[in-house]
Amino acid sequence: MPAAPIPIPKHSPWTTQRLVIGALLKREVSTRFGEYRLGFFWLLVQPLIGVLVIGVLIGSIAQRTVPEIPYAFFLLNGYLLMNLLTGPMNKGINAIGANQGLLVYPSVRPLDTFIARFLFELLSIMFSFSVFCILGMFFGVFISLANLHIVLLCLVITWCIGCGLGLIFGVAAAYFNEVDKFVMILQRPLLFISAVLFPVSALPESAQRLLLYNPLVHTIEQSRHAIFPFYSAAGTDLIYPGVFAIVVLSIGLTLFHGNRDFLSQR
Amino acid sequence: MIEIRNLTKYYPVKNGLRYVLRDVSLTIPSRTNLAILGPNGAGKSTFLRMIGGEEPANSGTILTDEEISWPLGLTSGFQGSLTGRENILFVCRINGLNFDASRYVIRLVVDFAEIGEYFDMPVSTYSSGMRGRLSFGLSMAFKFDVYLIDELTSVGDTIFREKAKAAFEDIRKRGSLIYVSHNLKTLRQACQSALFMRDGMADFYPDIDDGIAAYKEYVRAHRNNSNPKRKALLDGDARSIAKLEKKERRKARRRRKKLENPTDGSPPRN
Repeated sequence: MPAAPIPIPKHSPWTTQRLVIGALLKREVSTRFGEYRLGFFWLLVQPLIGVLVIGVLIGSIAQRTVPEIPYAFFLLNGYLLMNLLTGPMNKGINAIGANQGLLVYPSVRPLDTFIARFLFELLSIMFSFSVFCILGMFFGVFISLANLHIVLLCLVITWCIGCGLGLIFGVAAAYFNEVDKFVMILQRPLLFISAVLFPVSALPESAQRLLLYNPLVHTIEQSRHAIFPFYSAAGTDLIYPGVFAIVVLSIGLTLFHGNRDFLSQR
Repeated sequence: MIEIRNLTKYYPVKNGLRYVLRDVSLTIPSRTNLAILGPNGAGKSTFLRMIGGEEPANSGTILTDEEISWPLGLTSGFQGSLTGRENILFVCRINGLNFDASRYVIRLVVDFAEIGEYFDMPVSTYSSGMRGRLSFGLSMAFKFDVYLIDELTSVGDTIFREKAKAAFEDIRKRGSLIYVSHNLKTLRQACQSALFMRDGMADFYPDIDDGIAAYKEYVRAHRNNSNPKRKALLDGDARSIAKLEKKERRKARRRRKKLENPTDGSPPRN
């Protein structure tokens, strides 16, 4: 070969990991959007379709329960936050399988594939969340920006729960093939028990008590309250989902660490 | 130099564990091209992946002061959904190459692989020869002390084989190879020493001819002797081969005759 090969530059482990996660993120973006003609636009179209379907089905009845918020925004908020939990959870299941070919390179560690996918979910949902907020303000919906830190906290907590579940199911999927089917069935009722369609306050007392065990209810209601101050999020707080997120994430990381040798072999 | 100390690797199988390496200690000297010999399933590819740092050992250590490549194989190294270019760029990115260096790498790979417009097609659409070209070209673009190669050239056409041979010559000037293959002729051409793996053991032979002799000895001992023709072929017994072939020809002639004049059992043709 006439041309001289180039030496591989040396980096610190921290830099290497950052480079790897960056490269995986870019790979995620190019495979996720490269095949669609709408590209990035798809990030906005997908939740809109979901909301449109639900809105047409039950919108006219359901919107009577939330006079404070335009029902479309009420739905969008819940839907996006729910996706922020189910997205990392579903993407974690085959994070390793989908990147198997790239794990040949010694600097690509299995955890990096998870981190890249999780980050991708967070960034994409944050992007569509802010676009819809800006669109809402443009069309004259009253949106408060005074409590943006609470909104951010709600998003991050929800995401952390999703990441923890993604890690747990990702490790489980390495042992049992059935995990993805199981998770698919498990998350089906999530739309109905997470206050995405109705506010919690519209439900009977006994149902409310049960529903409040779901951390997603807390973050969804709290974020609505932060964006639309007139909306009441009574009975919910951010302490419970915060603790829930820490516990789930710790379990996920511990499971991952304990099985890391098993996960990196074929 | 690669020093291997008390290395153990096993895989769980249906009833217990299957040992690929059982407490193996050996030293692979620098500047020698090493051929890895052994029957299927002896753990040659696993060994390569362990040296490459991809796969963890169950116990023991691998110590080295050399820059070792990732294992170059046909089945690994590329993500099928990405194009050849995207895969190459991925490797550039994880190694922190800047724009110019990445462009240089792409040029080297394009020149070596010669897969034309397929470079911008998903790798899953490649033939195995094209994958081999891309994989080989990619690692040749980087400077390593040791290149790990797993059965890569076996699928190549003549042009690729000649290129690979030239590249091996080139590597010999600046580093070394660890080469897994079943083609003893290529191994003998490219390598000086050998590692013979079987049944959880691995023996290092400084002279490749000794390694190949040991491997052939093993094959002879484990041969399935139930098929007389295969036995005769392997033993190189010309007389029995001739006898067996004569018998086969007779059988074939009888079969042909049967087809031409079908017996009463077969349905009548009209």
